[in-house]
Amino acid sequence: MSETADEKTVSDRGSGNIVFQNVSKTFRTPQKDVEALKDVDLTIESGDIFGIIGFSGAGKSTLLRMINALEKPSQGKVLVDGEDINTLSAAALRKKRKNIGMIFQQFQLLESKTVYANVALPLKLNRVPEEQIRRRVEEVLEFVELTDKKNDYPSKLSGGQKQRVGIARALVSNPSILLSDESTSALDPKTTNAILQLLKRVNRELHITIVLITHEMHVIQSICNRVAVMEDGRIVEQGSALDVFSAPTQQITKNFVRTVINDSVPGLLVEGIRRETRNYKILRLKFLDTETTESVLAAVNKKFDVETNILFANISEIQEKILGIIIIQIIGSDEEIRKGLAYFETSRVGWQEINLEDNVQKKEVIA
Amino acid sequence: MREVLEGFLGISLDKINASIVETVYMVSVSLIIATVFAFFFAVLLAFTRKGGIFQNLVVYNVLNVVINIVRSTPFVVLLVAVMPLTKALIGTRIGPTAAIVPMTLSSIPFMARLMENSLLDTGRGILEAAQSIGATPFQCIVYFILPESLGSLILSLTTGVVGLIGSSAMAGYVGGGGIGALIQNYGYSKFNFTLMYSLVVVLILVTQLLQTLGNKLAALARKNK
Repeated sequence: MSETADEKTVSDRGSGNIVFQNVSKTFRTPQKDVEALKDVDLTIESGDIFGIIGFSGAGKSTLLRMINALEKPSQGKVLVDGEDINTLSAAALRKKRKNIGMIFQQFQLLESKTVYANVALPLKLNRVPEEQIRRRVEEVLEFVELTDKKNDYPSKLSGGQKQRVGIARALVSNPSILLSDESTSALDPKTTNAILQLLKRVNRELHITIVLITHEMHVIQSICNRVAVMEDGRIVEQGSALDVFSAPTQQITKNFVRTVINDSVPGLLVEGIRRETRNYKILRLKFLDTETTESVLAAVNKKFDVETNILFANISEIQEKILGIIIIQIIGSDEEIRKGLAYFETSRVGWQEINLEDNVQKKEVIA
Repeated sequence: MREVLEGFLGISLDKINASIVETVYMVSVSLIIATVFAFFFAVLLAFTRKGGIFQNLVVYNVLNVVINIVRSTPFVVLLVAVMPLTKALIGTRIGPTAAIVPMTLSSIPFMARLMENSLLDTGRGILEAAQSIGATPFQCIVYFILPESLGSLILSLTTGVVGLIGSSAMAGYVGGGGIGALIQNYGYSKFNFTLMYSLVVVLILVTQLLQTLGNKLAALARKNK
């Protein structure tokens, strides 16, 4: 009896955790050697939606392709559910790949086959009986909300619909891992959000670990619980999405975060601050799912002999938590400001003194 | 009607009909044999090359050089050069059946190149998708590359047929029979230019017809009009 999607046992399916151990990759070309990955250590836990962000050429695509061994490391190991994927025989690797779905920026559907035939193909290759294929394909098409398109050819579909077919094809063999290669980069913003919400459902309802690569911080902000930032073949920063968004340490990460939370201060305000003769500090405050922001600021003003001006405020939602970033100017004696800072700490508001000149809106500086 | 036409062309219609039958025979038999070999070589070329799913540089390089040699030999030279082989295979050097040997031989490398390009057109992406699904190399070819390149393969085949009609006419010059022989023996040699140009027009019409048919079939195979 052939192995089919719905007959897979839990242990067959694997839990979906992925470990990179000291992975390097060098592409040799006649002109020069290109180091695509350098000493990458990374653990992706079962159940994660793990985002890898970086500019093109940073190595994220190579990294992603190592999970299903479309690329092999020059050094180091890639463990998928504890198994070194590069020591598997060709047949064992093919079996493993059926457990790792993949979706692509350009969808990579067969233009000559209907939606149904595209989605059915992975099962057909496994010689699953026709009746079981039909049941499973309809189930998956319903999940991606494409039941009414099953007899259409891909050329008749919109980009978002094509990606839904891609997702259905990846899900049909009931994998434990889904790899997403810039899957929303060819889509408009509205469709991007719909596909991201679908990926979130894939993760929640089907318990599938998702590893996605992107160059858009918005994608990470929308669905990822963990994130790694890549630059020049290295992972330069990684952590929970919330930590990385609220306190990025590397310059590249700060730049990426700034694409979605633009915490720069308008130049006109900066002019005013430069003229300020009283003693002051500029603070970047971080509110995490805590009290309402105004009450803390109001209390500081009331309790201590300080004056606060809000220069920037942004509230965003990450990992279903509220993240507030506020930049304030706090005016008063050093002693009173110190008391204020202590109050922020007891109110579980993170603070950081910043140099205002780093946060001026660039346009205004030039003007 | 028949008399009028025969009077105009200066030749009996039976002769014309017989030559058309010969041409169709030469072209279709050459086409079938050449397609089988060309497709086989195209698959080898496309998949044994560097980075292909059956990478084998020895096979690729040998095939590559042999194909280039045959392709750069002018057809008129090939016609004469393969005569010993034709004699051995068919038993005679002249006639439509004998012409099939050089026609097929020159068509194989030409069509192999065209089909190789069709197969390569499918691109790396679809192959990557196939591999990520866990398809065997054989399944990659049969379930992914072939259906996706079918339209392009049909167009390559069409170009191959048109080329064969051309070479059938040339084969006629050296005793091959068919419309080409008729143009040479009854048209050009006997200063019957009416017959010569009429037959050329027939060849043009047949070529147009085949090309249109090929385009239609290719569009049908692609299904993404």
